[in-house]
Amino acid sequence: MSLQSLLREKRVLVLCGAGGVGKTTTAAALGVAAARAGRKVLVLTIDPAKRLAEAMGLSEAGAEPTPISPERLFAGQEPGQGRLDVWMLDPRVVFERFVRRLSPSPEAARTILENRLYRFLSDLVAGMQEYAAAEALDNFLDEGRYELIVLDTPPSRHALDFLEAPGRLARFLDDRIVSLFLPEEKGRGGRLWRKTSQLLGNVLGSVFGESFTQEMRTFMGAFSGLFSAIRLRADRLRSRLTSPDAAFLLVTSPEGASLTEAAFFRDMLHEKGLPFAGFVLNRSWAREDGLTSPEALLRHVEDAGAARDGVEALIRLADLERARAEAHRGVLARLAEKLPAGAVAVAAPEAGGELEDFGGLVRLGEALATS
Amino acid sequence: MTGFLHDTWKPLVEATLGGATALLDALWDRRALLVSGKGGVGKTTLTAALARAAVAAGRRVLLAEVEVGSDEQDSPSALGALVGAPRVSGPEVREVSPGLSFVRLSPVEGQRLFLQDVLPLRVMAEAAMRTRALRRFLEAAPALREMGVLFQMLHLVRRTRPDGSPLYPLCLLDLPATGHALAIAALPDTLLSVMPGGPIGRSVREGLTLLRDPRLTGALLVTLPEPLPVSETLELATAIQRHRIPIAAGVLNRMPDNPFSPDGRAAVERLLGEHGPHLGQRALGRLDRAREAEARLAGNLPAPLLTLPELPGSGPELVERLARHLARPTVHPASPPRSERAGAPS
Repeated sequence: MSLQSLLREKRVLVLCGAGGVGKTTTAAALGVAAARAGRKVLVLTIDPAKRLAEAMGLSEAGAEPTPISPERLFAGQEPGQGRLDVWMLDPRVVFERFVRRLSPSPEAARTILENRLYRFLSDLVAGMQEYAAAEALDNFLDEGRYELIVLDTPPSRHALDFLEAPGRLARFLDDRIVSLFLPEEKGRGGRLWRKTSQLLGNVLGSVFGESFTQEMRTFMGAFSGLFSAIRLRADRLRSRLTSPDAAFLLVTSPEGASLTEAAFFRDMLHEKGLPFAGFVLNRSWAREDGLTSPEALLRHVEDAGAARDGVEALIRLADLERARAEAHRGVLARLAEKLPAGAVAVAAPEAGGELEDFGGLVRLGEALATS
Repeated sequence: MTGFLHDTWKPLVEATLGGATALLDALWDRRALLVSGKGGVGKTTLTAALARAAVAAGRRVLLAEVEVGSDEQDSPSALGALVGAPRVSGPEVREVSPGLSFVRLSPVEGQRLFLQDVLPLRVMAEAAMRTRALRRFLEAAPALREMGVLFQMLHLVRRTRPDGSPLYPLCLLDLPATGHALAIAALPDTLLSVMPGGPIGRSVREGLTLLRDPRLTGALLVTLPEPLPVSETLELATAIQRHRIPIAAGVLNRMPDNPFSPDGRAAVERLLGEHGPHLGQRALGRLDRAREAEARLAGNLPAPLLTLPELPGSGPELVERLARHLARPTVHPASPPRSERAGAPS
């Protein structure tokens, strides 16, 4: 299988990797390639660098995905059936919608959204981007508006956090546990429950202060109606992502730390039974450029002088470049070892961190898909 | 043959390097340095090298990393491995070499310490931490995890010897990733607006007096000489300043050596223009991007910039090289005049 066939067949592509390895750029380029090949694609990203956002024509985080105009998408080829939307995730928008959709009544939704604590939710909960990514992905998959969703995972060290987050929330939202935090009701629970509840009450009161604890309990009470829905959705997303419709790509740079991270992700995916589809090696010189050695320039210069020094300096740079390229090809070869059947290891051309415009994404996408 | 370090450049380079010594001395005088940067910029290696350099300058250093997952109590440590503590178990501080201690900060440990502080009885804190419900609550609210990390750090910074002097005069904290650095910078403000009163508010205010005092604390923003990392670092600097965390310095890591004199470079451009592309041009492009990136960072970062050369090797070996470079920054090992390099006694 090549990246091209992944782009043709899958419904979800999840890109994981350490921060700073060009994950967002890769996600965008793959989305562009799939859309140019005729599919209806959504690229879901969080906090892209400004230049990349500009290259895609995104201004601000909006409430809806932004369509890329067909003129831009199909520049240099016949316009096709494909479509590309890009959405810069805004956790606040995702959650507000989530609350409105799942609340039993508009009044219940308003109670939650107007709670003082709700406004701080995404500040207080540092994993909120992860929750939001999982929620948005699940939601778009459910709607079925897109044939392919490319998800650029949030830049946490553990890129699988976005999968863990709903599970963690769901574990906490275990009814027996949550009920301990809810406003007290007479006659509920057994003796053990009452004792634990009392201990928690004491602890929370001492730690957060009595008035905040009361406020939090009220908020949890209002929110608790949504808990079973959150649990169900966490399970649903997990089963979707373990299906053959999904594929996980690990993006890495040739740096040691990033490679260690990629190997770790691969093991995690395996352990969790998630479909690992291969590696994309970014920021490397692994691709051949087939250029002439600069020694050839020596015959055009005098025996001494600035020009000769310059060419000699270029020769030293070429040596460095060769050594580096060779090291990077070694990295690629090691990534390609022990791949599961059908998985790929692909080196991206060195974009040098320079993506000036949409055309750059088109070229990168084509290079990735066809290698 | 003229060396690359032309006479006209020399005073400039030396002034910069003299500035580097003063910059480092000022760094070592702080109580806490928060090292932040994206994955792949060499942050962890640099943190280890800074710790070694500070020890070489006669300081007692506590090197700290943050536990990221809850299942990591006993697992390999990348930072630990660089200073001779490859496996970490538990949240205790241990001395890895004279003057250098290492710890993995753990949210759970910090939360336990905090509960001990605020609850009337020690046994209550232990009982509370054993409660499954509370553990899950603390796990599901990552702000409380970061709060735990900060609290353990604060606890260690505050510890004293019998004579009242600090047990760890200088703490170097390797922050997990850019996003987390920002989350940690933003956390006190958030917590204060949500719960201004109570023990958390008190403790946060105490933490802020340390975190916001530029004489005591400084963030070090590590980055690479490439366009995207530099843009992101400038964005991070703005965001961190909004939360009034002082930035001690930017660190530009792996700056490639420029082997050209201006005339030589001009001649090469002419030759390449006439005879087409040759091998070495990718490296040339990288060099140009690096110099542009350095200029942009130096011009826009609201803090001094320390530029480090691209050094060979990896792991503890690279840590040693970087530390030696930091200990004697008046010599620039990456780019001595070529004539001297050839003739230097080995």
